[in-house]
Amino acid sequence: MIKSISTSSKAEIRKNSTVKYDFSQVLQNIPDMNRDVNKRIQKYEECQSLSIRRAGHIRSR
Amino acid sequence: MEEVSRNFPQLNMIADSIEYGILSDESSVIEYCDKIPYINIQIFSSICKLYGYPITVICQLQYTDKMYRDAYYIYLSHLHFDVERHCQRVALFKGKIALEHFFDSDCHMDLQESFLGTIVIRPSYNHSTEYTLGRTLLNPYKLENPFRYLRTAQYNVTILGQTYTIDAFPFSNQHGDILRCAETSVWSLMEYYGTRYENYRVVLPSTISNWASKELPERSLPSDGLTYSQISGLLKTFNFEPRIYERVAYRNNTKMSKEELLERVLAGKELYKLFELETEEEQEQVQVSKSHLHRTEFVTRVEIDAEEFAQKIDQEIEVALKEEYAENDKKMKENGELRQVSFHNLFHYYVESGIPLITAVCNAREDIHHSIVIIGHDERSPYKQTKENIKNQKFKYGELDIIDSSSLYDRYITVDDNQYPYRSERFDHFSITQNCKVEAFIVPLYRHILLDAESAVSIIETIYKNSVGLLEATLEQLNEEEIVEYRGNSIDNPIVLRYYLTTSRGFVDFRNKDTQYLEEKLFYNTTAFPKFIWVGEYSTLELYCRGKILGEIIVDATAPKYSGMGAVIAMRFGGRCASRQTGEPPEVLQKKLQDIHEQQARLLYSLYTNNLQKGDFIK
Repeated sequence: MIKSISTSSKAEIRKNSTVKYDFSQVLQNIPDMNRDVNKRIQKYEECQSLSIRRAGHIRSR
Repeated sequence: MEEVSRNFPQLNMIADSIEYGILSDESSVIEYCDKIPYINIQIFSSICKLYGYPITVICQLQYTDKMYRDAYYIYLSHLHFDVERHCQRVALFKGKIALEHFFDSDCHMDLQESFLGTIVIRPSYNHSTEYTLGRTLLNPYKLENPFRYLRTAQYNVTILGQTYTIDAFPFSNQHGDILRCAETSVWSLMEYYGTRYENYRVVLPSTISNWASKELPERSLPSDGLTYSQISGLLKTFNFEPRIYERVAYRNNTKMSKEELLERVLAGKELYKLFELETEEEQEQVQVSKSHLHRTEFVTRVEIDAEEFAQKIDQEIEVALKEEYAENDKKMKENGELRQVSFHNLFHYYVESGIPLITAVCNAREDIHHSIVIIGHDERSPYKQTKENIKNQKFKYGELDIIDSSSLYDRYITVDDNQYPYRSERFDHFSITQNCKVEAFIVPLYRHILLDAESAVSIIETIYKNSVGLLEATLEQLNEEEIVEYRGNSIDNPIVLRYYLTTSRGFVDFRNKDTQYLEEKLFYNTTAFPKFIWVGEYSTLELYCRGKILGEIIVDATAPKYSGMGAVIAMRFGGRCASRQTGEPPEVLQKKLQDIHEQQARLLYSLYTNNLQKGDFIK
């Protein structure tokens, strides 16, 4: 069975790029990112229609 | 029939209950329809044209349709004058097929291949042929110009003793008294969900009517339709946890009401110029009316065509809204904020997720309120890919030009009970009159999906916005590897972001089938996924059009709304990927990515197409 599966023997994957990936910037400052996201989501909550908006839908965070 | 009977005289026996015919052109349709009570020639002929002649038709003249019969017993049987209990059911097969072949099991495979679908024709109280299409199951993939990105369920039907399967999205004309457009949309949606998934059940008119009778303050029959809040409430009783997106609310986000916008429009314009009113008397009348801010007031005083007036004012409001949005966007960019997704963006994310949307539409004068079901989208619109449009739609993170894939589409596949099934209509030009805008849409979400589109997109795009260097590195690698000719990042070839909700089962299955490499399979197979995930793919416009992507971020759709980065499950950037298990904190993703020394996956891989199953991006 395993024979039918290729590992990275083909150039398509094996070719190791010289391009530098700096992963230190990914999820670098999670508290700040969470604050950004939550601020954004609160903004969308304001978009909820008056006809369907319920009390307490905006939380202070 | 006569020709067949010469060879097989026994077949004359079925002549009383079956009407067999071969339709080779429009005149033969008219001739055939003369024999079928209540059939609407115009609609039937339009459907035949979509499939192309010749078509063989078999009509069962005394057909018991469960939907009609249910409606009959809750309403029609109470009426003074007789209404028939039986319907007719027409089955359509592509090509010229002799009647005896329908009884020959050796022909079954060929007939299955030719099978186009069935249409129930229901009796009408006033003997009119309008709105007489009952439960209709037609195959959209066998149209002469088939639609490719839409949802269907698989049905079994028995015709002359043989069972055939058909992929279709259920359709019915609205009945008027029993099911108006809102209830028909719900019926159609439940007929689809109940057939395709075991968690749901198909519903009959009586189920809907009983609910209305308990929940509405007025009588339920004859029906007067439902508001979209009521539609949502009804869907909740069928095991959904729906979300309502209302356009007015998104307009309110500009902090201006429609009245304020209208006032702003009128303040900035000399209204009489809009209508080319030349005499002073006419101009004075407009000025006087201006203070009233009431459309009919204008119309009666200056005798302007009401429809024309409403359209012009709406156009002006649209311009004012665009200015308002542009101002908001500018402010957000200056503050380094994320872009605000639009009402259309949200609509498209859910369509791309393969969720049929019940959509409330209304015209400019707001005297037509209608409900339709959106079941997919049409091809990318060429005019949406023009430089000018991309320039208007693009946004920037760092130095990169980016567009949302939803900006490339504006035609959607509708199931509209006032028309026939599978119409491709422009966004905000819906309904038979093609002038109805989306007022609201209802997303029938599965009960464990807590993260909605706007929250998921906010999470994913916050990561992309903070990872511009990684997006640039991917593009650099693309250029270096010379797999494709890379045209650089510009308005001609911006980064495309594509968002959708899907089941992890469908997603992992697709990713496994897409690759032959063990490392890639292991990455997806060893990650623990919840039942539903949101995915944000990135690509370049050129690659996107070829069905290829460069990376993706996967988020838990069952996570709470305010989970932020805590909802992120996995990331893939330029052949490097990492995921986190349920006990690991989100920070671990950064560490795992940093520890990667060798690329484990391909740089280019396939755009996910399982949501709208028969898409064009087939390997």
